[in-house]
Amino acid sequence: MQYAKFVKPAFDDFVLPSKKYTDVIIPRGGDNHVAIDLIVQHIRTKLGQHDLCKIYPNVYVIQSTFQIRGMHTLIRDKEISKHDFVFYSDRLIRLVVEHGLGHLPFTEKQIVTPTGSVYTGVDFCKKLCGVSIIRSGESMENALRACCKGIKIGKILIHRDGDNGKQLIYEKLPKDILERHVLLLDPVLATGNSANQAIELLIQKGVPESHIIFLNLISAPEGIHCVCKRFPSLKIVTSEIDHSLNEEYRVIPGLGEFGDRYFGTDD
Amino acid sequence: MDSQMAASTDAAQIVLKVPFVIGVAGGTASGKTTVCNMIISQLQNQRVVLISQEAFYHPLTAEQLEKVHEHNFDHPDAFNTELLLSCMEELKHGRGINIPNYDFKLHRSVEPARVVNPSDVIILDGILILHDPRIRDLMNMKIFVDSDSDVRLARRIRRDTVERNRNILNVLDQYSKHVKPGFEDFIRPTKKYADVIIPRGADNDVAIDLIVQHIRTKLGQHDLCKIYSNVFVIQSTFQIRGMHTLVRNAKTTKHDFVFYADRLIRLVVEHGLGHLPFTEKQIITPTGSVYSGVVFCKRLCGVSIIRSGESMENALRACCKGIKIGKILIHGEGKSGRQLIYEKLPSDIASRHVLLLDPVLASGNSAVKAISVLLSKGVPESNIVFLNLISAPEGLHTVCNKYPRLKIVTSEIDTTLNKDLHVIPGMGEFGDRYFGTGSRVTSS
Repeated sequence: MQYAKFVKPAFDDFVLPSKKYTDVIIPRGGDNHVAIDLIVQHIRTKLGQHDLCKIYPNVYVIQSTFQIRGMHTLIRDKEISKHDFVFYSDRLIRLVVEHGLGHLPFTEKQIVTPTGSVYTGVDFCKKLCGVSIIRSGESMENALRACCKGIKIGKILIHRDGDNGKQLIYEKLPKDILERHVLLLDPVLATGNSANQAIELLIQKGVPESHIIFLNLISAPEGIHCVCKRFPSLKIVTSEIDHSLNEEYRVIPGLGEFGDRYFGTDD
Repeated sequence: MDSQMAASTDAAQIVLKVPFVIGVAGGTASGKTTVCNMIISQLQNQRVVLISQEAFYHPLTAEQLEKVHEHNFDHPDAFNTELLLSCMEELKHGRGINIPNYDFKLHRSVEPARVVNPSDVIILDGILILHDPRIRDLMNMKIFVDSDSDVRLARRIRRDTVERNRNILNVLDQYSKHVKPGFEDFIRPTKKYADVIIPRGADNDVAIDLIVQHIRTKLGQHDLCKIYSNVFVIQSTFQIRGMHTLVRNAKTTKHDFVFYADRLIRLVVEHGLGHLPFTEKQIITPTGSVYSGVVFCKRLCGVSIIRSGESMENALRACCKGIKIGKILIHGEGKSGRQLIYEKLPSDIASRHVLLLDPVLASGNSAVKAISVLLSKGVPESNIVFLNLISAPEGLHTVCNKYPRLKIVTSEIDTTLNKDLHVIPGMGEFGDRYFGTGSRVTSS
């Protein structure tokens, strides 16, 4: 009675037409496990993803765990000892480096294990090098060396002189850098101006933009916009994206002057 | 030697993952192909192949070709479904195939045939791809693209006249005679088999994004993680697979074996630490801003299963300064019982979270014994995180069925155990290779 008089007409008149506004239609309701799983995964992915990663597909934030947030809490704390700052920065940097290496190209390779079975694996790219932006970037060299034995590491020094254009004063890069994939190292991405200058230099040396992976510990949204707009095929790997820059171009909440804290020159 | 080679090839084929198969159906010109292309372009780092049902049209005989305008291309019988099934069977077993290259002007397949390599994702598209139950059964996900019929007709006219060189009157004639009845009799009824219906076809970005994310997650997930929610496999990258390729290779030097095993272990340890509990904490950064972070659990300890487990202590110490590490030695071979020979654990272990260390989980018998020792010392089951480098499915079943609240973190799940209870493909005797006590000399 109720069904015929209200439910059915209301469905036909109001509910059914609204179907055209949906993004997906789920047939068979709650029994459709494939579709429910699909939607749950989608929501999870979207929640876990920073907005900037949706805009720039080449920005990767390493998967956050409580351990990673705990390490960030330690290194960002102004009360932490120098010893702990270096220890936890090193652990985080190691994770960023490992994640960054995961973006290098590969070739398939089959090997035989000691049990006599075949394992279909990969052979990873051997033509690579690091380039650290002096001084903070040098803090990332140890982690890179710990992962890639005997890796070549070039250096770029960009002199900071107010905000009226920055000047490059030093560079020393491997001669065959244009044939290599480059891991560009700088723990803090702030405005992106010095990063852009360093990337520009690498491109001038003949390194294809898509062969550069820029590794950060923390990145400001302003810096990500600045770098990704200019170099859309470069990849950025970072462990956290911060809130913003303040009027002095420092990352907020940030972690202060990374170089001073890491190298102990802040007294 | 030959028989050994043959056995190895079989193992390799088992290792290959069964592809994820997606079926995309919908009326003519509903936007199926565009939807497929959008999915493919967003899955750029996966191996994806698109197979169109149109390639499997029966070729027309000379007689049929004369009356081509009367031929019904919108009937299930127009397709060589048997051939499609046999092609799918080959692909499922990791073998490449040739599929017909159907020419829409000549109405027969032309040379050269299209080569299709085995892939991680296979997308099948076609108006009647959801019609045959045998093909539906191959699919992990069934999609129906739903667009208005007038929109579809307009697109169809444009495509057939411009791209396929046909006369508009013939197109309209064919539409009312075959296409429309075919849609109503055969295509639309298959909508009920779809898992997801995409309204508005290719204009629907949200739906495409949703599907792509789902495929990515499914591809990255091992079947056992879907069964046991406490099994975590660290996210695989080419770098991690490259390291596995090195440590699993029988020809790798001891030095490289230790180096890459250490790097992998470090990643497993870091991932395992991420499963420890935490409390919220706000701190002030040097810029004077507030950062809402967490403090992680400090009451923890490691327990290594002697001898292989001890290879993981360095990585644990590198992450947790001054961490207490207990030891357990268990003896027993093959299927016989396991005996506790020795244990030395922190006296307050009952109040700590325990990271249990053993790089290879094979049958799970030693692990079960070690875990029972921890439980007998008063450690709650849910406070144990078991860290492995590689795990056999048998071991995971054994441990997870017995201890459902314990967490397992591993870097790869292997294929199986052989009759000697060695992990296949595995990496041999981990302890011997890591500590350099292997007596075996490789024959080659």
